[in-house]
Amino acid sequence: MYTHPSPSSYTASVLTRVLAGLDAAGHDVDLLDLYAIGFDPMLCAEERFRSGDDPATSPMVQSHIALVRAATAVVFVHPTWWSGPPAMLKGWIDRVFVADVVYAVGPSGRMRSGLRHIRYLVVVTSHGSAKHVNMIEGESGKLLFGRSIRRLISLRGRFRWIALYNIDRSTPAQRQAHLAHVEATMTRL
Amino acid sequence: MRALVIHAHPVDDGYSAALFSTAVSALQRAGHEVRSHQLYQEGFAAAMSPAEHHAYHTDRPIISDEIQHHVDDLQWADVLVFVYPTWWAGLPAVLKGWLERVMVPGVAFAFDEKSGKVKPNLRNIQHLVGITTYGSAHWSNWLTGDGGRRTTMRALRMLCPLRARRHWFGLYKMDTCTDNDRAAFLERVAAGVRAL
Repeated sequence: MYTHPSPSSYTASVLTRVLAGLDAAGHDVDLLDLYAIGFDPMLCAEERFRSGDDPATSPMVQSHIALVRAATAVVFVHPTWWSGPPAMLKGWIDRVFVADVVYAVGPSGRMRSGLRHIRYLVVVTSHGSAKHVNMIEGESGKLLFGRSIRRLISLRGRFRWIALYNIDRSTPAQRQAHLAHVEATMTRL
Repeated sequence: MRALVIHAHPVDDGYSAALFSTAVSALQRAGHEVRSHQLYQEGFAAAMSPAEHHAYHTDRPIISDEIQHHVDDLQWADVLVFVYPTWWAGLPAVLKGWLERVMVPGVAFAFDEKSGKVKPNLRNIQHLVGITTYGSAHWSNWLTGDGGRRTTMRALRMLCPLRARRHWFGLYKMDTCTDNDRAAFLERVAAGVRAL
C-alpha cells in the first residue's frame, strides 16, 4: 500500500527498496499506488451504511477488498503527516476496511475478525519531526496500525514499525542507511 | 468571539449534521460570530494534490482560492470547532486532508530557518473544541489510543498559544445508544459550547 503524491520523493525510494526486499525473499507482491490509480478517499453516505453484498461500493474498492482477503502480509509505505497516514491512505482504510471485511462469522457462529489470515502487518514511514515530538503529539498513526488494525490480524501475527524520525534534519548518509535497513528488514520478513 | 466550525460527515440530515447545527446555533445564541465549512457538502478534496505537495516547501504553499478562503477563516477565528464521526479511531479522511491542505507552513506553523524546528503560528486560537461520535465504548477507545482526539487536542494544541483551552465532547457506542442518550449529548454540546 503505497501513498505519496510525488514520484521523486524519499518515500518513493523507500518503496523501491521495500519491493526489492520482498522480491529477493521470493514473495508474490500486489502493489497499490493510491495516487497513481486516482483513488477517491471520500467514504460516501451509501458506503457508510451498507451491509451484506450491497453493490454501492465501487468496483475499485471491491477489487481492493479482494486483494486484502488474498494477502498474508500487508505493507504500508507512506509519510507521516499530522502524526498519521496521509488523508489519501486514511480514506482507503475508511472505505476498504468496512464491516464486511473486518468482521466475519467464525466456525462457531460467533463474530470474529475477518483479517486473521494476515500474518504480517508492516508500516514503513518517515516523520518530519523527532521521536519525542511525535510522542507529545500522540502518534495517532502508530496507534491506528499498531493497536486498532493489529488486534484484528492473526493471533500469532507480527507487527513491524519501520520508521525514520527527524527526516527534516537528517543527513544523506542517514537516509541512505535507513533505505538499506528497510530492504534488509523486508528480505528477512 | 469569532468561531470557525468545521464539519465532516457525508450525510446531510443525520445525527452528525444535528451536532453541527446545534454547535453553530449555540455559538450564535451566546453572541459569537460564526463561520463554518461542511467539507463533504462543499466537495472539499481530501487528498493533497501533487501540485500542492510540490508547493508545500516553497514560499507560496497556497495555490488555490479555495484553500486561501479556508486559511482566511482560520486566521480570523478565536475558536476552532471540529464536528466529525470517529472512523478507525481517527479523523475522517476529508478532515485529515483539511489539516494537511489548510494548515500549511506559514499558516499553522513556521519552520525556523536556523534550528530547523517548527514554531507554532495559530496565534489567535483561544479555544479548541472537538465534538465526535464513536461506534465503540469509552474503554475500547482508551485501549486503542483515541488517535483522532490526540490529533485535534494534542498535536494541534502544540501550535496554539499557551493560554488556549481544550474542550472535548464524545458520544460513545453511537450504534447502540438510546434516543435519550443522543438527545442528552446534544444538550451537553449546546451547554458546553454556550459556556465557552
